[in-house]
Amino acid sequence: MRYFGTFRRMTRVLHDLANGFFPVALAVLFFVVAFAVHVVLWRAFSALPSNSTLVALLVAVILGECLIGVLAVSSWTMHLGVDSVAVAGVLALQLAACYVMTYPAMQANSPTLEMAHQLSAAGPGGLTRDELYRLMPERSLVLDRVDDLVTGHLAVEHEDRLCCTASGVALAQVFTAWKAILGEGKGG
Amino acid sequence: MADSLSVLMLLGTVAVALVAEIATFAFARRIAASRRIHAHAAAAAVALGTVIGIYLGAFRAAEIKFLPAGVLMSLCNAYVFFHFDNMGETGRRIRILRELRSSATGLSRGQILAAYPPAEVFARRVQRLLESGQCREEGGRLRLGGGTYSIAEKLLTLCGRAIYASRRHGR
Repeated sequence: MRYFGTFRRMTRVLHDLANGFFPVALAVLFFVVAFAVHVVLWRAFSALPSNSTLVALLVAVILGECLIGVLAVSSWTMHLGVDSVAVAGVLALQLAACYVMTYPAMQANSPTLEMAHQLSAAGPGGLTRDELYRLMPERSLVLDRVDDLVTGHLAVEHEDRLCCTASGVALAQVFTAWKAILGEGKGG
Repeated sequence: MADSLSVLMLLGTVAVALVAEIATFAFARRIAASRRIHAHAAAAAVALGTVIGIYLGAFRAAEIKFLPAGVLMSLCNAYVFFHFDNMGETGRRIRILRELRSSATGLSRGQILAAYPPAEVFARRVQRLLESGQCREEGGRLRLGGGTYSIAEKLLTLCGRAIYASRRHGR
């Protein structure tokens, strides 16, 4: 009898765990739809939108999907409850955050990956440091990133001098504090 | 159990796991002087263990429904944290912002290049490739060692092309 009770509890636990994959699947669906909207719009724009526009778009689409989901579970008899839609929404936003953190590597060329590509193309003979450096577009190493900061409203240029905006100052302060906690110097 | 309480318990658990992850990483880097990638792996393992441990240990079996979501949230947090830390370590824009902030009157582009020259960008990345074993230097020549960065570069190029279509940007 005791073992039967244990078996029933285990079955219920496994059933609950299986139900727990529904909000995960819904979160993936929310994110995939938001990503599809992002791709369609990015191909349509003539000028590349800023990173903050990307964030705003993904958040807006996912919150809209959550609202539709809440209305759907409230109107229809569904296996999911409002709590599952809420969890799916939070998880979809986190998936979007993962994408947003990866996005700069696609939007701006990564020197490290470019170097790996050049070394791979060079084959077993390899390259000297000078040869590899000459293959790197020098402007893209620093000056293009300065332009990105201005485009992204993290820096502003006035009379040939650049200063941080309030957002740029906040971002710099966050990383200055983080590097201080780790006891490390300036990165880059 | 009330639905809203289950959701709050999930978010609270994931928040605790995130704090444990950050603390573990800071300890591993500052005290144990672990390599960065090892510190991130240990931190992610602590975060996952925290979520699973809290759900299995503290919550009753009836509340286990959101454990899969909690595990995936924790993995997402680990990924985002890795990139956050990587931005501070390798991010050129972050470095430039820090240089700008250190000057009360701002900097010209020439002054930015003097403080953060392209040669430094290049040298730091060669050093990272060597330290991570992605390439090796023999007889003054650099050769690609492992394939992880080369594969990552190809994947990111494909994703970039899918999103930006025929327009070249950056790459």
